[in-house]
Amino acid sequence: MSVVSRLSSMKARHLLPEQDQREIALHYVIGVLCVLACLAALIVMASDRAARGWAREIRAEVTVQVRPTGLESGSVAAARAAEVLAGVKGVGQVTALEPQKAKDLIKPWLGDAILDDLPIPNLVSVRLDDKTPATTKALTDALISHDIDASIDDHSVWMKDVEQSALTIRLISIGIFFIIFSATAAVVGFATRAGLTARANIVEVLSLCGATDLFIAQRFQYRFARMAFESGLLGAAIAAGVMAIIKATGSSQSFALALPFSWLDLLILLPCPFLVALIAAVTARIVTLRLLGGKG
Amino acid sequence: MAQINEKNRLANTVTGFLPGDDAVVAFDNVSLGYDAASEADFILKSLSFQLPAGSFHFLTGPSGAGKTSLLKMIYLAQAPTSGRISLFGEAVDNGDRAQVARLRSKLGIVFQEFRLLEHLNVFDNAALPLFVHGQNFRQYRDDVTELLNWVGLKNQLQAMPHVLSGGEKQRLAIARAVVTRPTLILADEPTGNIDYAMGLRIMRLFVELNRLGATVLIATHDESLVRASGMPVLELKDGQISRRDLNTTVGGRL
Repeated sequence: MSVVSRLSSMKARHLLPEQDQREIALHYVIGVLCVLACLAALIVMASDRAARGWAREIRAEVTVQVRPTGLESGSVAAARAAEVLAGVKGVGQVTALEPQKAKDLIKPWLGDAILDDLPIPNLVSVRLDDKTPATTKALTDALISHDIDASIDDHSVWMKDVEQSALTIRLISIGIFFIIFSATAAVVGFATRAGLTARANIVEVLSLCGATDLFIAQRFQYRFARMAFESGLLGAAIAAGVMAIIKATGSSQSFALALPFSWLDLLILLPCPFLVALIAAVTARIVTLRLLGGKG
Repeated sequence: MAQINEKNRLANTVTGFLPGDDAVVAFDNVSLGYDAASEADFILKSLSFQLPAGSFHFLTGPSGAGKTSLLKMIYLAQAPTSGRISLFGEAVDNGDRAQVARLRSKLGIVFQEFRLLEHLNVFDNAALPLFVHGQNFRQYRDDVTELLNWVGLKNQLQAMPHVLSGGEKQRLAIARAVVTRPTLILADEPTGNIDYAMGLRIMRLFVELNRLGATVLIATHDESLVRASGMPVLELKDGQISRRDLNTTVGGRL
């Protein structure tokens, strides 16, 4: 390489001086925002998975309360109902809850004293087929056809609550995600203004050399996009680390139940640095063109 | 007021130029006032003149006469308070940013305060207009190196501006202004920070570029340099412009 070919280091990025103190702070702020945005994205994924899981579990379970008729005992009626329900298409596993087991379940709340005087319901737990679950009507029809007096609880009341809660969590997480990205855009816009003011002399020289507003805007666009990408990459890495720690340490079982992270969720972090860079580039371009009075 | 304007217009219409379509710069009844309440307080009053293509003029006048303001209006950094300016036969609209950029790309400007970019080295500062116009390093490296050699900066190609003396900065600013071989060269005190010998050398560069077809307008206090050149002079005084021809042959001693 000749001496002459080493003369110039001028590339698009070098038309603006290397970063100053303000930009280090901006790096930090964008990085933090990106961590929060990435965590919000991970929570969206996990809450969605949790909601689907809860809904699937609730849909797959049906509880049947059997009322014995005539001289038939409760446990016999429950056993007969279980046998009938097991024959319905779309039913997986059927278990008649033994009276003693039902008492054991109630005992912690009511104690031993009055337990014997209480009418313990005769319950049958029905696990539906995952792919082609039996409908409540099919189960009811089957029981009626065998003269079994029973009521079926398909948990639809709980289902609505669970779905509503899951939807709320998802919407809140998505909202937070977008609020954080809009905050990133605002921060970049503010920084672009500051950068443009701080480098007014450079902008003026470029302009007097015949540079178009678009040319100048592209310098700022490139600068802020690169900075945002680097910060975004760091932010995504930190968010991935946080998720990995939560998942690897197991955390508490209730936490894993509420937010069941999957390693595949990490894939959603991949576009985050690009997205934040895109936001920064577009914001820097718009702000620069507007400040220079261009029509963009 | 209309009568006063007309009177001023006639008084400030510089005669002796070659009016016509080949005017690179044309001022038509142009006035400029910074926060001035009345026309009497304007810094430049109803100026009408033209700079024909290929002409060479000095712009002189006492401090505060408005030389820099006049140059600013020509390089479109300052809009006139009233009147019309045309560059290269095109009426100027300072609000049209695309037009401003296009017209400026035909200009080479030397600023009194240099306006070098401190984070770029000498070579990159000189090559800046070429880079801005989309040329790549391979296209311009020989021309820029040769030009910097010519202005005496061949040993400082990679130096940063802050290590240069005032004279070296001036020469670099001049190199940057002429590197694109502009159609119109505007210089504000281009020899203010350099010695007489280097001043003459720089003037020879301007004359040479003028011979190659560039129109040149140089604002200066340096009467000796003006006399040495023998080029026509536009003199600004009391907001008005007048032409002064020197009794020397064209090109003078340069």
